[in-house]
Amino acid sequence: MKAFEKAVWLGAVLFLGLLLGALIMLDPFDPALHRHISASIQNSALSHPVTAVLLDFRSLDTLLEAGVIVLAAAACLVLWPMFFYKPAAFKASVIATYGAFVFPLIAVVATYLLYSGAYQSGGAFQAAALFGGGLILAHLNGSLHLGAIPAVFIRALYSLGLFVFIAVGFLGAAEGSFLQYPQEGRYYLILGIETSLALSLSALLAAFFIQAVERIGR
Amino acid sequence: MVFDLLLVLALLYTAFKTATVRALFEAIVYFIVFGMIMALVWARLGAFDLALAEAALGSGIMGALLLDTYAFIKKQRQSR
Repeated sequence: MKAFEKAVWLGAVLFLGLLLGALIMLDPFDPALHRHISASIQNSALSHPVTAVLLDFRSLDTLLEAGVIVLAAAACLVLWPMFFYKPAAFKASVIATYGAFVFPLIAVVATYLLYSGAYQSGGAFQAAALFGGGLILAHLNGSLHLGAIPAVFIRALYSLGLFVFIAVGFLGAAEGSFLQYPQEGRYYLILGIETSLALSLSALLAAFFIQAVERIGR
Repeated sequence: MVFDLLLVLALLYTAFKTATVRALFEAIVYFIVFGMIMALVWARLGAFDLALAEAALGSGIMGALLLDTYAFIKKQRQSR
């Protein structure tokens, strides 16, 4: 065990040295990329460079990223029954009061983040992260009742974002290549993708926690 | 400047503690604190979208998942 620990320390120090070396040899920031994006952003429906790259110029990467999260959730759905345990009670008055005050605020801020992603920092992933956290909070204080909703609908919600993304991709395929948005209604198509992605991703992120604690259909 | 320096020191300290502390629960708490400080660092660097994502994902959801896993492990150890 001691030799193993020594090896781990040696590896960590070597890795740190490699990282520092990479940091020193890193090229200074290349302004050509920024100029390139600023030049082509006129053709985009979005005015924020990060969102324009994510959902317009390199939207295939974003689609695959969303696919990875859906696949991870599918793997979790398969593995969950192996980790069954009865959770401790979460009914604490602090969480109940805090959740009641904070959840509406989180919902408003997440919607704002989603909508304002077109012209400033934000967008589907940030909004989904925030709203997913809000859903977990609502679950912990017992105000989120998922038992009434059929499991099929919840699973459909998980894949909604990816489905809409691919559907819009094929809509563009009629114009030329996959994920080439049509010229008219470009902004609304991207907004539709972002909204459905945010809904799906927040449901998925919350599901990672909620399903792990309290299984549906026990 | 002083604030930035303190931020970097706190980041390095919590990162070191997360990796070296023996007790699982303490390591999880250090990890959550590390995420919060990392979010502050992103905000200081002007990347507010990253700061938000780090705070919500790295600290919030990751922290909740880790604490849940800790509770699961503790239950398993007790039942054995």
